[in-house]
Amino acid sequence: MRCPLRPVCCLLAAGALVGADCLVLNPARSGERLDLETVAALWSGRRTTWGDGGRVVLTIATEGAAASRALPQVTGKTPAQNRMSWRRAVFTGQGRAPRECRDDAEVLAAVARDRDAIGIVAEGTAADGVVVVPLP
Amino acid sequence: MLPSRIAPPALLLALAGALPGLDVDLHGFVSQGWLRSTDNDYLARDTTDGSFQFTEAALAVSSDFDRLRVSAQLLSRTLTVGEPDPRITLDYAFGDYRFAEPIGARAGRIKQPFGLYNESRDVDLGRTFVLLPQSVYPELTREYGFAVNGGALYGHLPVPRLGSFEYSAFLGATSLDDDSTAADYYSVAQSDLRDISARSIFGGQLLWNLPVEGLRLGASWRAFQDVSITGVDDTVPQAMPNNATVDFDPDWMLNHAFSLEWLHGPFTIAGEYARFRFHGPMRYRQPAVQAAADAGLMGLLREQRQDQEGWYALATWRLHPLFEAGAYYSHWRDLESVWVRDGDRQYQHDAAVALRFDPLPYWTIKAELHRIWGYGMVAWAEPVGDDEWWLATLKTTIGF
Repeated sequence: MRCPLRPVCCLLAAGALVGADCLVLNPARSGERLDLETVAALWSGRRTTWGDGGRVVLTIATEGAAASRALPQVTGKTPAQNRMSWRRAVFTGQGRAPRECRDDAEVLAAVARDRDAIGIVAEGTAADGVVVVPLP
Repeated sequence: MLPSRIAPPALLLALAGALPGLDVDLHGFVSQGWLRSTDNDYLARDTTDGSFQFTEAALAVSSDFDRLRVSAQLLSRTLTVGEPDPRITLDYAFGDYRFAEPIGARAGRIKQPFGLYNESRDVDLGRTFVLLPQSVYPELTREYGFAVNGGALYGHLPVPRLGSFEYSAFLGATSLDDDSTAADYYSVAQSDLRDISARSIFGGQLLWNLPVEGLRLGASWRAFQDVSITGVDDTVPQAMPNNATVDFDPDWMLNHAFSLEWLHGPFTIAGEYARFRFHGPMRYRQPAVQAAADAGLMGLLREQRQDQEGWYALATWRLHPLFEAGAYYSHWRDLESVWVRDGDRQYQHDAAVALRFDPLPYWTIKAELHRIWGYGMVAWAEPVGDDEWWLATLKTTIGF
């Protein structure tokens, strides 16, 4: 049985840096039960809602390599396969493409602002106001 | 009943931008393709001379209101054996309410969940190949197997140690214009179709995401009831009224498929098997023609019966961040058909290779070559040539 992923802590101290590419959640989601299958299902579009029915908002940065590094690890798909999967969801009306932010700082701001958002940021990012979930 | 014809782009653009504070997602794409066959005009007119009758454009908009998502897409496409019609049509438009992860509901004009790729068959950006295997996803009859006006229940169910299941069950109805692609296909065959409608289409799909990374199995089925096909039978001999109108109301019309897909790193392997069957009486509205049919005269058909089998196996390889290669073998066979007597029309085998180039994230260029045996999926009244022939296709798509 796969071990559940645990948040490092509810909120890192202001200005603390994440040590590796990681997932970030809004603090309202700190109680969500996450395991590897769930995270993979979220990022591959098989699962589209949180436990309370809120629609998951995937959030990535267009600049920087965190998403490109982490997504294949999480979903088992290449970046191109992930893009094709998101486009199928968009043009069938069954999903939305990830919210694209300019950089990791914008990802963090978006996740901190939106209780339904989940993002990926690179190591060395100052994680303020979000819950950090290290990737395996 | 939602109309399946023109919905002005202004409606979608109004939804996209007019209401303050509305979080709207707007996307679209434009495609241009080219087809060239060595024998047999295929999927479009004059492909033996090279045809650019392969243009597509779509505009998709969606917006979330808490658990309700509203989505709609306009589509224009010209791939047809009849007169190309670039009219804008309403591809889908539905409300989607997610009660919880295990259950949601959609209502409106929705796509039929069937096989791995039916719902996304128009999304060129979402696949390697220009043409999906025609044995399971026939292009020429797509309209009556593509969308319905109705509703669906669906959901995602994780199960410990088994992975997860995705299910969908739908019910709806559809009708086709007499200038639809499917009508064009059948029209050039035997009869000038005036109406095709299925007052009830229902079906379901179950996908099993196994606890093996990237592996899923699927089963799909759908049934068409209260089907009505009306046209003029041009095969009625000259001695009979030459406007013999025939109604075909199948007793039953069934379609099912089994699917397998495995994503492993840069590789994708998939295969599907599908079967399509129907049976029912034909009735001529002119008493004299019906009497001749009842007496078994002049080769007039008293019933239509068809049993078609199709399967394919495909593989793709993302060999570079910008390039993806793919190949498939597709096999289609007409196991039982009352009216098809030409042996070479009872099968079509298709071996295809493709290369996809993604110079930019939202721009793709594809080249594809098919070696085809038989012409079972060539429009029936088209003159046929060699039963071993080639098809080449190029296509480019730009999206946003």
